[in-house]
Amino acid sequence: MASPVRPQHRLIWKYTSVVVMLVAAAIMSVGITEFYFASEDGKRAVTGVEADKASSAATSIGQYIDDLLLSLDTVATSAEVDRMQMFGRLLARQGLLSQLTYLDATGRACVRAYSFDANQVNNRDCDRDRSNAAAFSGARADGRYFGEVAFDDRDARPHMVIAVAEHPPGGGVIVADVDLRSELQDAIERARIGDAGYAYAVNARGVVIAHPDRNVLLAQTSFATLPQVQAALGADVTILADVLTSGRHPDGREVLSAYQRVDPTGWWVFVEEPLTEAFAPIESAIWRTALLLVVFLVVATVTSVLLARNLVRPIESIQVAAAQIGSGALGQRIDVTSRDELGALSEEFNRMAARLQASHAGLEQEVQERTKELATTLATLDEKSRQLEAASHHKSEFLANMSHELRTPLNAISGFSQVLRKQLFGEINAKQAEYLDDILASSRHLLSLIDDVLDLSKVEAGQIELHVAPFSLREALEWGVVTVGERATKGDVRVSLSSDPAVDTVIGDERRITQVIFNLLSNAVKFTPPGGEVDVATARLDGEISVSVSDSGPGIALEDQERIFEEFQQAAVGKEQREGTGLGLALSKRLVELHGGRIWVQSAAGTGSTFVFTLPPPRGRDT
Amino acid sequence: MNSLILLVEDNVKNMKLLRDVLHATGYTTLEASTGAMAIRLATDRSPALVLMDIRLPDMSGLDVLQRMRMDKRTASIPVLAVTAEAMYGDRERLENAGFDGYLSKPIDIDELLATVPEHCMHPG
Repeated sequence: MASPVRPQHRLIWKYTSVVVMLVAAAIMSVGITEFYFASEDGKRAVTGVEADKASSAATSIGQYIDDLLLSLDTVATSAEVDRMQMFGRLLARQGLLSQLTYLDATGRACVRAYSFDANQVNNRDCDRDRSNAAAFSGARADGRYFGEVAFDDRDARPHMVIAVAEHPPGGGVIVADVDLRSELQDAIERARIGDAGYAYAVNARGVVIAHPDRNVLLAQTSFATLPQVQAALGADVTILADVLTSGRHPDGREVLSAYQRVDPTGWWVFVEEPLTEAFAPIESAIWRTALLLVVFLVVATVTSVLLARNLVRPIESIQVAAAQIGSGALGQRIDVTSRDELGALSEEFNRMAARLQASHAGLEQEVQERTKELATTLATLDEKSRQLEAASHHKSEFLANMSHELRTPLNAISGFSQVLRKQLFGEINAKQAEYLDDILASSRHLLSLIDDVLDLSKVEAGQIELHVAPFSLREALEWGVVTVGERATKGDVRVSLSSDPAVDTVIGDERRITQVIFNLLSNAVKFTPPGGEVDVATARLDGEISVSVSDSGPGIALEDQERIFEEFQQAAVGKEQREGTGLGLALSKRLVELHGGRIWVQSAAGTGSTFVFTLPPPRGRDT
Repeated sequence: MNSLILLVEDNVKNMKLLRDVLHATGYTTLEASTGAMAIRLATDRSPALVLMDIRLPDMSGLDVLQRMRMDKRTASIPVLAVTAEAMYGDRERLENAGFDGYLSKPIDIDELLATVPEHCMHPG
């Protein structure tokens, strides 16, 4: 039984891969979109918070500086007489002012007050010349001056010099040394967000002035190379605040950064959070999405495999069933119960198979019936053949018996006549001798009649078996000529043989062909008048071999030419002669035809006759 | 010559023909009308030649020949078939069966008188 054809590309994997790819593409695109927007939202939210913090820190610091400036301005605009008193009050109120100095118009330090001894204001005669100090010249030029944030060697606190020019301009300058530590550090401490978030401040050159890490602070590290710091420092003066999502921590981590300018001083407060930290909530969302993706993918794969299996299994069943039906298992049916197209297809297929089976069964039955009929016919035929064989056997037995029974009395007739004619037992007279010759001639005639009748009967009964073998036609003809020679000589008939040298060996039953030759020759000699001629010739025509026997006898009328080949039919001349059995030509015709040849006569009354018979060429050889 | 010839023939007239012709030409004859008799005479009398009909009442001339050939005493006696079984193929059949010669009925007396001395075993 033939195994079903194995499909090279299985539908199930086609369907499955298509569905899985579709689901994966859908989920991935949703996931990526989701992730993108979530991260954007997350960044926005984080930087929003950062910006708020930065803003409030910067505002707080700016407010403090502004307050300080306002206080200093108040002192600067007050009358010189009150200055001592006001220095004291200011130092007392502003706890972070560590030192106040008044420089007169020439730059000499005239009044100095310290926070640790607010009531002890030194009012010396303006001794030290500080006219070269940046504070003095800066304040005299711009009305106010902010010094660099510097770290005191003693307490390692950030200090800054703020100087304000007296009003009206051209007067002295009030120089304040401000301890910024609590203000700056507090502000950036307050501004930090999350666990890993941090805030710091840099001056207008990017050098750190406030930082949670004291070492960074004391080293006066420059953050000017950080992208967010660069962005802030390089920003237009109108820009007070901005965010940068691609900031960097000094250690290289990506950070979300928001920054705000501290207005009066040109410092920048940065509030930052590492991206990883900021995205922690988003990250878990991403992981959730990824997990969902995997789950969906698995579910989609399983579902599509199941679906495809459901889809493919009936098709496979149909295929298997088709293959089985194809190999002869016509009882095969497909077990598909679904009510969809596949179910319909299966049902249709089953119906087809049933019809096929029915028609096959019908066919088989018919074949059986026919076989039975055939067997019966064969049996009948066999029986008939047996009967025929028996009949044939009986017939041939009958013919043999017939021959025997006829010859036995003829033996006595002929034998005793011969004995008398030979005068073995005494002399006879002429009349008696003549009668005995007549008896012997008649018995010879009777014998040839018996032979011909029996031969003919055998031919008619299909009893003749040809002993086919190659033999020399020339020799057969020579024998025939010799055999009729005595009679020809008696009748004064000249017999000649002109054999075609190309014709020698033929294939046939030598004795039967010789019988035909003898029959034709003896007829020719018999009917040729004294002084006449009989000519035997062979020829090859279109591959056929022909033997012709021509005589110069009386010829045969056209109307007799067909008839003479029938049994007991003789031409008018033959009847007159009262000789011959009338069976010789009929027998010759049968024998020639048994060999697959033809026999005919060419003649006209008074011109002699030519009897011709042909033999098919020997197969497989040329001569 | 005075050879003894065994004639095996069941037809009385044909027997008479053979006997008369052979006697007239100087032969002595033994006569058997059945196969059994032929075998007995052949064994007892050792004829110089047997002329044997084929269709005999009790057995076939072929069987008689076989029996004679199997018996050492008769194995070498020449046997001629003289038979009316003269249809196509009969001559070959009988000669192949072991007959030394064949004469078909109706016999030609000249042929008979020519053939017999050819096959006669000369005594001694």
